[in-house]
Amino acid sequence: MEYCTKEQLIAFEKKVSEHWENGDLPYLIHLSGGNEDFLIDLFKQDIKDGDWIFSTHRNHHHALLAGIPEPELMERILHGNSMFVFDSNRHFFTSSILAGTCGIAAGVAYSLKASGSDNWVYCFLGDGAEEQGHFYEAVMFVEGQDLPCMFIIEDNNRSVDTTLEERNPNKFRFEMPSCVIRNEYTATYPHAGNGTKKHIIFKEKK
Amino acid sequence: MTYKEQITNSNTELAKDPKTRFIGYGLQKGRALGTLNNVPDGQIIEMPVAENLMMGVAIGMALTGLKPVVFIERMDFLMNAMDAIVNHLDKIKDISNDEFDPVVIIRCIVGNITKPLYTGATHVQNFTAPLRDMVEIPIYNVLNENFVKTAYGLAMSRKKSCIIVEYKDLM
Repeated sequence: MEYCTKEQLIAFEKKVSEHWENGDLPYLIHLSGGNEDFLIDLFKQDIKDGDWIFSTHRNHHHALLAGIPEPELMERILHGNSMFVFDSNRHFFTSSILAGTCGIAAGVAYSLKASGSDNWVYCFLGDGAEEQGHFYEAVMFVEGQDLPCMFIIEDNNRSVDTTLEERNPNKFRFEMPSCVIRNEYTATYPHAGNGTKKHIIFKEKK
Repeated sequence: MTYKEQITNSNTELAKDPKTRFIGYGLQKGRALGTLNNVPDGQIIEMPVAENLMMGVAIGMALTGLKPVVFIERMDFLMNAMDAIVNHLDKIKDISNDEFDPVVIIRCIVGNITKPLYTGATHVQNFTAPLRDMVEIPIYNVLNENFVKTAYGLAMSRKKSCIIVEYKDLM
């Protein structure tokens, strides 16, 4: 499979960002950016055909690297489905509910293991979701049952718009077991929208 | 046949489909008040007491083609699973544009008020009415033994998620 390059990923989000500024997107959007190198390595080296991917509200990079073609993804975004990118053939699932996918990912992993499959589940979350109890329920279950599921914390030091220090002055974190990996990165875009100070006049919904 | 015998028979019937899995805590020992006594061990998934996880795991299993039945011992505890029910189970088919359509049967027991004792304010609540405003999945309120077979029949035949509300005081 041919993977998107870093430049392509960045250019795609720039295009979405332009649509946003033009008022073409009267919908909530969350742009990806800053984590390209890590993601490209992960998708190329670890994620294989038949694996399941659970993504979040910030899913455009994940979707492109999972193989959803650019025009198809752009079409979905322009129709208001930025937060709702699903693809059953590619086992690609999203949820904009923080940590909401963690238990679902664990359930898929349970089935995969029970059926003797050697496929894995990759569940992305942010450092905001890391502070959600539902994440820990799933981590304990996956670790306790030795399930083929990896949780990837994409840590941009931001829970919506609040830094770890602002929301947790001691910067307390649990030590994570082997089913959790963390990638710290600096986000290109803010939590939602593209950070423009311009006043956007949204066009009618498509 | 009594209310409880009807429920036990219906669950035995559900278990005949090899894809059915019963998800809950304490099931291997307690067998869901005896209602899962005829279910093969291999179809029972023992879970921690973490209702949102139970529901998430059920949704995940359903995504892979299994047919999960989640047992919630008291409806009060369903509140811990409401995110998975309202924001996921009830919405996935729509928000995914039919890409995914997980089907989960949820069994909820309304706790005992009289039989054999009152179990307290946080163990007897019945949220059937507010639930109907919160989700589109059907809710079958099994108020007597005559409705058990119908409710489970609908749950098995309709190929969509549902919540079956049962009453401990009737068991």
